[in-house]
This record gives sequence, structure tokens and C-alpha cells, in this order.
Amino acid sequence: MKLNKRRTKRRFQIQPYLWLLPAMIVFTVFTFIPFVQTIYRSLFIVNSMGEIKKFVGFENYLFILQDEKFRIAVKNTLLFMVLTVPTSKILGFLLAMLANKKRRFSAFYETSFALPMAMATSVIAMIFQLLYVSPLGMINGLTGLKIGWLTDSRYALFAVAVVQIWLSTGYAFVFMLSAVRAVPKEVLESADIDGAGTWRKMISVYLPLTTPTLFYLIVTDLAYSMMVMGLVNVLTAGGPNNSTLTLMQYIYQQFAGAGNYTNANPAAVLTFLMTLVCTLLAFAWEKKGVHYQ
Amino acid sequence: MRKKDTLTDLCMQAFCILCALMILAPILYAVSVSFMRPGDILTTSHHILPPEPTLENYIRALTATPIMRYMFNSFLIALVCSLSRVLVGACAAFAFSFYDFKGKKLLFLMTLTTIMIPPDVLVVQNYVTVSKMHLLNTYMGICSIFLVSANNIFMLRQNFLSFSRSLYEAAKLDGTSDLTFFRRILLPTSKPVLFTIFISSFVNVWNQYVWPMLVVNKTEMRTIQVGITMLKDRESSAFGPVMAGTVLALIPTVVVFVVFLKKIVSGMMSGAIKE
Amino acid sequence: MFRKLVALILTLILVVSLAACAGTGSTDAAGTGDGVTEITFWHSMDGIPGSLVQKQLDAFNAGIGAEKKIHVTGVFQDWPGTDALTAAISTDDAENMPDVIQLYSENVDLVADWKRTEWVEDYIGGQGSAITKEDLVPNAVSAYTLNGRLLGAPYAISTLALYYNKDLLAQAGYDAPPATIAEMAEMMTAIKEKTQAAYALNARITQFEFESFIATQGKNGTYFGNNESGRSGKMTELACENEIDAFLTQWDKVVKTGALKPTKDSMNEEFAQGLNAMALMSTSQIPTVTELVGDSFEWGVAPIPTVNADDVGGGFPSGSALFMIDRDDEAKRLAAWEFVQYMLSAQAQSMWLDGYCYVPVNVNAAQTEEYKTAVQNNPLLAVPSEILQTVPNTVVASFCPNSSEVGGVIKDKMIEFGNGSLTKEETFDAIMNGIASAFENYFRANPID
Repeated sequence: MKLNKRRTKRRFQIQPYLWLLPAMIVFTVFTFIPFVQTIYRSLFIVNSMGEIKKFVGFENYLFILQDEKFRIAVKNTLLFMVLTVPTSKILGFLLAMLANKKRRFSAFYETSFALPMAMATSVIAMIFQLLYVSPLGMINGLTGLKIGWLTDSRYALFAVAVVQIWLSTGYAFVFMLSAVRAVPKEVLESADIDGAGTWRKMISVYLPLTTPTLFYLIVTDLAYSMMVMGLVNVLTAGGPNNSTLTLMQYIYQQFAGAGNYTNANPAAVLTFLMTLVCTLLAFAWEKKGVHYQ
Repeated sequence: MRKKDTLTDLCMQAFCILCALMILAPILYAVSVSFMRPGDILTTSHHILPPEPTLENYIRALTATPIMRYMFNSFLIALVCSLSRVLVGACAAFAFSFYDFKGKKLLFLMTLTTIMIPPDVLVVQNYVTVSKMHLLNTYMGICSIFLVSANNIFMLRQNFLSFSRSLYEAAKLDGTSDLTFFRRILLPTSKPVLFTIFISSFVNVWNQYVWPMLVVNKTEMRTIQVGITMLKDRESSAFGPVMAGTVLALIPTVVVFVVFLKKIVSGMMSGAIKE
Repeated sequence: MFRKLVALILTLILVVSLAACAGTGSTDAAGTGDGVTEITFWHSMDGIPGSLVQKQLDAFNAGIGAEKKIHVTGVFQDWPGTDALTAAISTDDAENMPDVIQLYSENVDLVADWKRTEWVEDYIGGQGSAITKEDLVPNAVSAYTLNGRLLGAPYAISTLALYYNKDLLAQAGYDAPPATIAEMAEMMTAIKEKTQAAYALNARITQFEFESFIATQGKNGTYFGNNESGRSGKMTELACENEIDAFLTQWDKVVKTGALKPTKDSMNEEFAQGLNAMALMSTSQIPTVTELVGDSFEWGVAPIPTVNADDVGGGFPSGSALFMIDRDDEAKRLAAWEFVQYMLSAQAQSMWLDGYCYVPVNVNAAQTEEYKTAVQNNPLLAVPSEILQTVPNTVVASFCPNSSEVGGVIKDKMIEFGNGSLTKEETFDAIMNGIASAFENYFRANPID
């Protein structure tokens, strides 16, 4: 057997590459090539028709880094990420714990908890837009407040974050529920024997054993929340006073609103780099805090 | 002892149902609005239920746009893309979790980076590519960029990694080829996660807007999300017809959801734990 | 399972490609088979105006189209229609372009420099042309005229107006809408003291409202930017510093009443519920407001109040125009002009009054039966035409570079001014600096050769 292994190691394997081929073709054609082009074009002045005008090196990067709007966008995006990513995971976990045991009405509330996952961002944005309207909307109506949720720069980002949390909690719930239900009975029984209460079990049994799923959810949601756009575009379009201007909204305003690819390209590259850093941080946490069985 | 259990159970269920209703509230409100007359939607008396229910909005949604055709288009596209995502994703994840080969780390990292590249930035370049392939105005053109998702590969890898390695080695020793192992053992035991990917992909593609709008310039090839936008009136706040369109568009996703959800939550990772 | 899955996918791909082939096949056949010229029209009209566009298309295909063997297909594109156009420009693929496209004035520069754009000037008033420039609202024509030549055909236009609640005004002791901003401020104080209205005025000043208050100043109107606001060369700077200052000085009086709501939530509904006594809105909202108000109170629509007592007043046409595109096909080009002519005709333009209220760009529309019936049912529908037809053709919107950023600055700063967080002087400086940096931004990426 030892011999066998050595032989397979020495021989070049074509198999794994074949398995990867279809995925890599699609990625190369529709993601890698255009993105490399974007990186290349970010070093040039590009006019509103998309024509390359002049090589300027990293000047475009320096230019947007000095743009106050870009810096506001970075700040808002990070704040948005901090607000939404952990909250939706915690809520998803709590809901999964609630729904863990199968009961008579399980089917109803499991589906309800998960249903936000089925909603289109643009559609849910319209519904919340209607709910948030001031003073005639339902939220102000039921609470008796007269807050311009989307028109007051103090509240707007939080109002958008609530919608995002609503959306991604459903997703987190589905994954957490199956993870929670997959916790081995033996582990729970031994916890019972130790006399652990519900709360203790949740913290020291369920939580550690579901970290692989949590890790997956956090990594993908980090990237997702960095690129949030549809929601902001419908609800506030980055306003009022740039208080909900996220990076993607900044990029979108530059290329779709102003036809300014000169600013949009480097901003896209920087967004990618920032997401990459955040993801690498999450992977660092994977090494320490994620328990694979 | 038993009685106490059922009482807590009842309370828990009541609490869960309450939570469920709170989560559903925005959707239920949208359903309610879809039956309201324009003058009843935003008023000082804040109607939760339509004071005088009307089907006007649905009639408008169904007559103003070929919404049924749009649903069919979206359904077809979502089905093709989600099946492709399941299959291609599983193949890629198989390579990442059961083989050791040169460049594995790099290729996996590259796969992950596709999640971090803002897709909206690439739209124009992708349009040019699809145009060169002569796929504009075709279903294949719409599907093209949605055929694989790194997200799914990542998730399948997480799942396959916890699949017992010794089982794989044993199968190999028995002379089972990798293809047979993939088809006969790995996929059947991973059903829950495959279903999860299927649902989330279906919903994801069903809800796409920007790309299907751009690559197709024919009314009969439009998708449902575009149809909903057409019902909206940008300048005034005519919410009724949009909400009717929204409710109609929700039906298929909810059905897919209700049908497949049971299969998922029966234990996504359970296949992995059983030896 | 695996085999079934593969089989299913293969079948689906087959179905998809077949369906696609069948789709393209049939339209091609219709295009060449029986001598009918097929043309494509891209628009981004949704909701009720979207249905009205369809009505116009159907009428064309059944009438002139059938007669001259032209068939036009409308395709809805994402608002404001620039995504699809940019994509078409970047591939230069004549197969997948429209023959006619509807665009808003903010995006005129995109087509103005494009080699495939066919200027309306070369068609209008020529031999066999059913439409002349004299048939159209003067400042709608001047709005789309560059260097003396008409680029696009004004199509769906509206203007800014003041909606006022007659009942609330009467309670405050007024029977007519204000003529100047100063008068309006006085009225607002009275409304605040004597009525139950939540706000005397709801006005969110975006670039549209802002430019309206600038353009209507002076005896002959005022250009927002240099080079006739971008009509005789590129607009590179503002040309109205004094007028902006004058407007802000007057608007300060409105702010100081404490009865202004400077944000936009649901303007139509709030006005219709009697919460706000006056509102600055586009005239296109007249039918919607009519339906929402019902019989609950008396209301009217008036031209916006002027900054100075001797200003020309009125308003400028805002909205969209039709642009023709050369697809290397003579027959299509001529068919496109037939279609554009129809869309400008009195008949097609009077359809705008059916449920929506764009101002008919064709001055002869007032003679059609549809127009007369519509105005008889709702006399307010005639007001926007009256506003636009009295205004000289120098009162136009600007072709402002980077208008999305300029617009953002104006909107944000005017809200802060409106809620008292900025003084008049601070607002002036913030707006001037914001616009200057937006211009700098734009010309860095789009240097003038």
C-alpha cells in the first residue's frame, strides 16, 4: 500500500483538473478575464463611452482615496457589515434553537422563519419602503412616531440594516437548523448527565458544534454585505446626505449615474481588496475557533 | 412530569408562532396592500387590512404585462441554472475535498475570490463576451453567468470535508472508480445539502434583475423581476399593482420552498456524520 | 440519480436552445418575408405611462404602420435606459440595437457624440415630413437643440408646478395662489397660524426644482450654465451665481416660517390627505392626485412662484425625447422617422392625458377630441400646457455635466437648509463648492479634446 501511494503521488494526475474544468471555464470567461480587465483599466483615464484615454498609473487610486465620498462609503460599508453580519447569525442561531425540537406546528414556523430567504431584494426593498414612509407609513402608524426612517440621516443606515438583517436571518436559520439538528445525540446525553441546563447546553454544546456552518455563513455574508447594492439603491440611493452611501452604491453612482469609469474601476478593485482582507480574517478565525468533527 | 412537558411545549409553540408572524408581517402586509385601492394605502388612518378589497391591482398586473410568460421564462432559467450549479458545483467540490494535486490551494482561493468580486462591475464586459458568442436574446445568454456559484462549491466542500475519508479509501481499495464513488455513494448521501443548494440557487436566479434585463432585448424573453418593475410607477407611489405582481412572483418560490424545505432540515450534515 | 440529473440538464439545454432558435427565427421571417420593415423602440416607461406607450404603439401599427408596411416593437429597458444603450454602444452590434430610443435629457451627451445617432434636424420639415418645428412647444424644441440643430424629438414632457389646497388657503384668508416666493412665505405664516395643516408647504428642492427657480428668473429666463447651458458647446461652469443667491435669499423666508417640509415621503398622499396645504410637484401627477383627493376638498395647480416680481416665470419642459439610431439599413431609418413623426403627432400626444399627464408636445393636440374630452372632465389637465406655451424658448434645463453628483449636492444641501441646519450663506457656499468639485471630477475623466 505504501508503494501504491508513492506511485500515485509521483504520477501527474489529470483527474482532479477534469473535475474542476467546467467550473473553471465559467469563472475564467465571466469573472477572471473581465476582472483583470477592470484592474488594467483602473490604471487609465476612461471616458464615459468606456474608451481608454490616458495611462495614469495609480493616480486614480490616490484620487478616489482623497474623495470624501469614497471615505464615507468605506465607513458606511464597514458599519453596515458590523451591524448586519453578526446580528443575523445570532438571530438565525436563536431561531434554530427555538425550532430545534419537532412539534406539531413545526412545519408552519420553520417555513415562516426561512421564508425571507425566498424574497427578492428589490421586492422586499419596495415593501419596506412602503412601511417606512413618514408619516403615513405603517411603522410610524403603529408606533405613533413621526420619524423619517429613510429621510433622516441619523436613522437611514439602521433602517436599511434592519431590512438586510431580516433578509439574511432566514438564510442563516435554514443552515443553522440543520446544523443544530445534526448535533449527535450522545453528546447531548452526556451533557444531560452532567446536569447542564438549556442555556449551558446552547453555549457549550450547540454553539461549538455548529461553528463550521457559522463559518460558512459568515464568510459568504461578509462578501455579500460588502457588495450590498440593490437594497440601498431602491430604499435611499445612498442618501440622505450620503448617510447610506455604501461602496457598491458609490461605484454604481460613478459608472451608471455619472458615466465615470475612471473612478469606478479603482473603487471596484479596492472593494475587492477590502473584502479579501475581511475574508482572510475570517479564515484566521477558522483555524482557531471552528471545530470540524 | 409529562404534563409539565406538554405545557412548556405549548408555550414554546405559541412563542414560535408569534415570532413567525412577526417575521412574516412585511409579506402579509404586502398581500394586504395588493387588495387595496390606491387611496387606502397611505392614509392617516393606517389601514392594515383593505377597507374595501378590490381585485383591480391583480387585473392590472395580469393585463398590463405578459406576467405569465415572464414567470415561465424565469422558471426555466432558474431551473437550468440551479441544476447546473448543483452538478458543476459538486464536481468542483469533489476535486477540492478528495484529491491532492498541484495548485489545489491556489485554485480554491481563486474560486473563493469570485465571491468577492463585485458582479455589477463586470456586467458590461460580460455583455460584450455574450454578444461575441452570439448568445444575446437567448436563454443560454441569460443563464451563462449563473451556471456556477463559488458559494455553492464552498458549501459543498465544507460538507464533503466532513465526509468520512476512510470510507473513500475503502471504496478505492475495492476498486470503485472515482466516478462511481461520486455517483453511487457521495451524491446520494449528500442529498440534503444538494437540495439546499438547489433551493437557494433557484431562489437566487429567480430573483436576478440586472443581467437578464441587459442581455435580452425582447419583450417575450423578459423575466418576472423585470415584469414587476414595469408595474411600478417611478414618479408616483402607486404601490397596489406592484404588490400584486410581487405576490404573484412569490408563489413559485414559496412552493419550491415548502416542498423542499422538509428534505433539507431533516439534517443537512447527517450524511456526513454517519459512517 | 446522477444519470437522471445529467439527462435532465441536457434535455433542458436542448429545450432552451430550441426555444431560442424558434424565437429569433420567427421575428426574422416577419422582418423580411412580406416586405414589412421591422423596427425596435426602446423605452423605460413603467406603470401607467408604460401602458400609454403601448397604446401609442398599437395605434401606429394598426394605422400608418399597416399602411406603410412598418411594424414597431416596443421593448422596456431599465430606467433611465442608459445601461442598455452603453452596452449596445460598446459592442457596436447593429443587430442588437434599437432604431429609436427614449432617453432623458440628463443622458443626451451619450447620444450627442455617438456616430450612429441620426439627428432629427435632417428629417424634420423636409420633403414629405408631416411635422414641422412650429407644430411643437417652442422651449421643448430648444431644449433638445444643440448648436442650432435638433438632436432628438421631445416626446414626454412635464414641468414643475405648485399644487395648492383651496380650502386651506381660504381658511388662511387667501383666494389665489402666490405669485412670488416672498408672497408664498407670508401665506405660509398665515396657514401655520390659522389652519390645522401639518405643513404649509412640502417642497424637496432637487436639481429639477432648483434649476426651475433659476431658469425662470429675469425677463428672458436665465441659463444655468455657460454656452447656453451646454447647447452651443460643452457646459463647463455655472452661469448663474447671482440668480442662485437671489433664489436662496427668497427661499430663506420660506424656511424661516417653520412651516416647510423639505423632504419627500409620499407627497401625493400627504397632499391628498390635507396634511400639507401646498406642494411643489411635477405636473405629471395631476391625474394621480385627482384620484387620491376625490371630493374631499377643492384644489388647484399654478405656475411656481417667481423669485423676483418681474420675472418671466412659468417653467421648463423636463422629461424625455426620442432619438433615432442608424443601424446600417436605409429602410429601417426611414421607417424610424415615420414612427417618430407619429409619436409627435397631435393624436399620439393627446393620449398622454388619459390617466397620466405629460404635456402634449404638439401644440395642435388641443384641437383633438381626446384632448377636449379629457380637459372637460378635468380642467386642471390644461394647466401644464398653458404654463409651457407662454414661456420663451430660452427657459430650458441645462445639459449639466455629472448631473447625478450635482443633483445629489443640491438635494442634500437644500434639505439641510430647509430643516435649519445650514444658514443661507452656508448653503450657498456648500452648493457652489459641491458643484465645482463635481465638474472637476467629470472633466478629469472626460477631458475636452
